[in-house]
Amino acid sequence: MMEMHYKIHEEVRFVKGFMRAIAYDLNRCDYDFLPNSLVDILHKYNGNSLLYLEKALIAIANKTIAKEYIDFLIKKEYIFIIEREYINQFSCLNLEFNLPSHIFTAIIDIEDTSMVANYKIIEQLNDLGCKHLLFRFSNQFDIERINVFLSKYKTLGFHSIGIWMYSLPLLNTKNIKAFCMQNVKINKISIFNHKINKQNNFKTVEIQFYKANWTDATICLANRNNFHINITLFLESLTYNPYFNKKIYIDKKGFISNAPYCMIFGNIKTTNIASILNEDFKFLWAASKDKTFICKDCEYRYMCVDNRIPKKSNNGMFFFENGCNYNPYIARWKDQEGYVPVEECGTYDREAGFVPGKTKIAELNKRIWCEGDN
Amino acid sequence: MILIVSSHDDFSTNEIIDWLLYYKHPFLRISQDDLIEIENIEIQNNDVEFFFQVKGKRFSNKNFPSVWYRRSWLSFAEFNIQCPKIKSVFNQSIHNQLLSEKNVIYNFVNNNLFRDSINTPFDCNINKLLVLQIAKKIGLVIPYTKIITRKKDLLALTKKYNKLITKTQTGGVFVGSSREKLNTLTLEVSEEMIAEMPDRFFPTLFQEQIEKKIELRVFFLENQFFASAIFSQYDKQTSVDFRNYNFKHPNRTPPYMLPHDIQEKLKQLMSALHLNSGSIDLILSSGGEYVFLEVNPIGQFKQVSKPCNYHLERLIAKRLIDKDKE
Repeated sequence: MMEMHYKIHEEVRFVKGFMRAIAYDLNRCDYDFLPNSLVDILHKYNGNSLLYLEKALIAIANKTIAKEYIDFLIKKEYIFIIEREYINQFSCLNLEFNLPSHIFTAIIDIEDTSMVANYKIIEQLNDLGCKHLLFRFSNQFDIERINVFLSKYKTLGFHSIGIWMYSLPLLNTKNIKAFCMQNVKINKISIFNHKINKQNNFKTVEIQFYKANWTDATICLANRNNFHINITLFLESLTYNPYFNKKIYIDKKGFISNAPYCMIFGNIKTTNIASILNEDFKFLWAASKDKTFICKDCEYRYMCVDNRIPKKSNNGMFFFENGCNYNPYIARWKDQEGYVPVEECGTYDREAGFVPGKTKIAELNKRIWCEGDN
Repeated sequence: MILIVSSHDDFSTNEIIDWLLYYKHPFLRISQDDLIEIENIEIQNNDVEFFFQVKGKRFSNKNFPSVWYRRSWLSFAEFNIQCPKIKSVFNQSIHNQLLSEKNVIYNFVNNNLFRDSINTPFDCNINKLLVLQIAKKIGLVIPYTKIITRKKDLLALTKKYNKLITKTQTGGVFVGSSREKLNTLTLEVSEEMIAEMPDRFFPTLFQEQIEKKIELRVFFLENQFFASAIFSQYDKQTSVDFRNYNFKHPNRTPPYMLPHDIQEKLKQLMSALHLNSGSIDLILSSGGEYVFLEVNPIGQFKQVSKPCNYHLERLIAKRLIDKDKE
């Protein structure tokens, strides 16, 4: 019988973290945890005989476990088996990320629609190839006024529109539905100051009601219920920071920055958007997770979009001033038993980065993973 | 300037246009909904120039060294020939003559406008059977193929081949109305299906079903190949025709490189068919043979471009820009 070889499917990317790895299933939008040691072996022998893989797995576990792993990898189609002669026909996935847009996403706070019209904000964004808009309307805007505002821009080439608005007296399910029907590009509506928290989707539109007032000070930290696994986000995250890349924020007074709370680069009343898109403006776009302390050790780093503003250290790396909900050195979330903040797992220095305290981490992991009920 | 002929709603066209906008390259996009008014056509030596108006602007064919045909067709305004109100042999004869005149002009303009274009409206007319014949002649392996009208012939064929499939002889993928739709995908021939068939039936294409390791969907653009291997055989829903997509559990479709000799034969085939772009379907059989199935001149390249991250939309846009500058 011809010798069979195995290959990792290119649409499955094994990403190692400090403690464990994740198999990113990019075309089925799902993921699984794997031990780092398994991923090392899979990468090492990728394209080689299945027997090598089996032998290497037996060396780190035993025959039964090795077989279970291989069955699992084949069943999930993380790897495939084929005769040696075809292995080299399977080429590598091109990892380049590229968009035909100078700006892809825009957040615009709206208090004064005449400013938006007079300075042709939406038209400028359209010319820059912007595809996704998030309008955050002040409490002066009821659904009717928002509808009138949006009607002017229906013919432009945007793919999706998100709306933040206040819950005002005349708002009801009927007019929200009518509003969605008239504005087919809307994909998400967030309604604040509502009497209750609830979610009411209509067709493809996600409609979320919040009791809370909206405040963009809210830090959207890593959240395991809100991860997205897909090829676009994965490829973008390899090179860029997916929250800041190709984004622009225009506040209610017309000040332009990369995102809320970022440095201001001009005002729409005196500056053309295209003219401010220089390297300084794009500074945070390149703050990929691989170039960010702690994040670079996290297995979730290519599925996580968080809006903390990275700061640059002198050695070219980035760091965050606020901590995360997840500690990759012990693979624990804040709400899980045994969680301790990253600072307790080593020494953290903004210039030198995070230096894991190996003994300390080993001790914590032993406690969490061996002695606990997990 | 680049001329793009495509339907209004074609998403792949929008994506290519996004790249043209990004590179700030001028283009004109038209579909059958944009009436073209021919002003004049001048034929001189080797040169042809015609002026026309469309979308409220005046153009010459010389404005468009770079043309991409995707979908739809050209509609000519003044060719809207009315049926004679008074039906007489004389009127009818004039009417027929006008129609013939129209066709001559229509063909001439189309031929000139799409002379060096990427794909042409005529590409859609390729004959699948002729394609198989040429492919075979070039030395590509094709499935055993027979068009049958008698049940007895079909029964004889089932004895010779373990499994048979049937598919349309045209490239049509949509038959029916918005309410009722016929499945035009490739079907495996079952015993029940044969039992229900009359002794004589409409000429129907049957092929041996090739047992496969993988299927290959290849996008071809001016002698370059972009292939994706489709692991459709593990999923019952997609094992006969991968276009019967399983959206919940999509097939793996990694990038693939065709062997050199297959590439050369496919280049010969595309050249013989006068196609500079198209989607080619192949199977890598369980016996290790590359079996040619068909060419779709106006194929969906998105299914190859996105999962393999080939950036074909950008590539086509750049090619159109290069042609415009040549």
